[in-house]
Amino acid sequence: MKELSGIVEIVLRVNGEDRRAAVRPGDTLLRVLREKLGLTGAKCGCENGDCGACTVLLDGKPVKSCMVLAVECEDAAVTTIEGLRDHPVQQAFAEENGFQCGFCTPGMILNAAALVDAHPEPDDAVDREWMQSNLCRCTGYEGIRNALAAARKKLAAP
Amino acid sequence: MIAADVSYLCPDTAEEAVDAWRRHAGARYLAGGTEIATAARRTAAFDLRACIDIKRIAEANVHEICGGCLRLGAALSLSDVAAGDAFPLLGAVLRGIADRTVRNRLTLGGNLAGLLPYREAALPLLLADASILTIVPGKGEIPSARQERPLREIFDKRLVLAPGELVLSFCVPLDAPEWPWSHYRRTRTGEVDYPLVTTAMVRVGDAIRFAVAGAHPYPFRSDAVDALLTEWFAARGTDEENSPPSAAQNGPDSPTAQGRGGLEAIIAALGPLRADARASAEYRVQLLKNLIRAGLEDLA
Repeated sequence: MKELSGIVEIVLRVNGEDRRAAVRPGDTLLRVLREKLGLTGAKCGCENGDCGACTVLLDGKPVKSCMVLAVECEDAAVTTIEGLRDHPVQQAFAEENGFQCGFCTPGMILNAAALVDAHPEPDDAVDREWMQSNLCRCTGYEGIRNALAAARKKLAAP
Repeated sequence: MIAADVSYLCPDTAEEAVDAWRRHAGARYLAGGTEIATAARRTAAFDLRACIDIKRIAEANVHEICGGCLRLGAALSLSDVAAGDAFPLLGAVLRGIADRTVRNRLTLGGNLAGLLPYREAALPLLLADASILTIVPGKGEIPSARQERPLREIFDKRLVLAPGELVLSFCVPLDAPEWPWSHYRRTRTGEVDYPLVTTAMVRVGDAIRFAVAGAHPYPFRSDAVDALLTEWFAARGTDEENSPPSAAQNGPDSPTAQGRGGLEAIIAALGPLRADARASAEYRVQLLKNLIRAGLEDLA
């Protein structure tokens, strides 16, 4: 049985690379990504699981990294916005102005990327239900919706 | 980030988990961790000294039909259970809880055993007369022991567990997913919100079973309410209307609503309803009247 206490070194598979970090078991994945690994794309918004600004992909599924302990993730693949590397969803958000202040954008893009991966065919009900996980305080939802539609077109193109 | 110094333990078996609980004062079981991570960060009074991660325990991750029942592990995420669609009413209820990215972590056991009062996942399980498999830590020379009991036996407003008792799985009778069902969820603001009222209803032959969350500070199911609803449902053919009255067409004072075992009696049998910043008790009464009518129409 794995037992960790005090300050321990863990290895996280982040964006395809093994990254070592000295953490406390109580450290959330969000804090470790930002403060130990320098990956500041995931944003610290509410730290309460409400806003979605800290969304990352854990084994391909979007999760709120403020609600996950880093030590839980040693056997998982973590993808942050830094790991998408010019994904069609990123391009679409830039081209369609799917952002205003940009604070929610990394979380929005990662959730949208997971959405188009899990549901390649557009479905308004699924898209709406899926994207409700992320809040935009600027209320820039129209641009975000347009960006998602544009990303789907890019991905559907031969 | 959790300020307290906590230990993290990741057992491979249920026995290791309850043994770890015995050895670590202030330990809590962790599966999705959605509540623990936020409560421990915000509230100094939330005593957390060790997290026992149960995600590696195989029997807490089962999602299969075996032994004449659908067995659902307590560590399954709500998204995974809902995607399985083996129990449509359960899937519908789970898809209303929190939002998708939270549901990707929040677990079935966590929803029932958590601190929030809604515990909506309990509704279909209570209606199905599901059973619950737990393991109780040993004492001294007495080894740990598994117990499988009807969920309703140990669900009194919340799961009533012994200290250190760990929920492993839920067992749903195979006929339950086949019953006609109805589910409604009403919130004050958007769809991602705590429920003012969540109703779940099934028809088992001529009998109606009803459970509700949000109306009280705990999930509610009662045999008395089921009996009144069954009586009212059966009496629908004796009324001029051929089905329970719709909220749009008939007010709560309509003759049909006041029939034998009518809606007012059903509401009275639910007892005092919750009043809070989200809605008054009176508002919840009106919501419930509408949703009970709608549910019975769905089942007619």
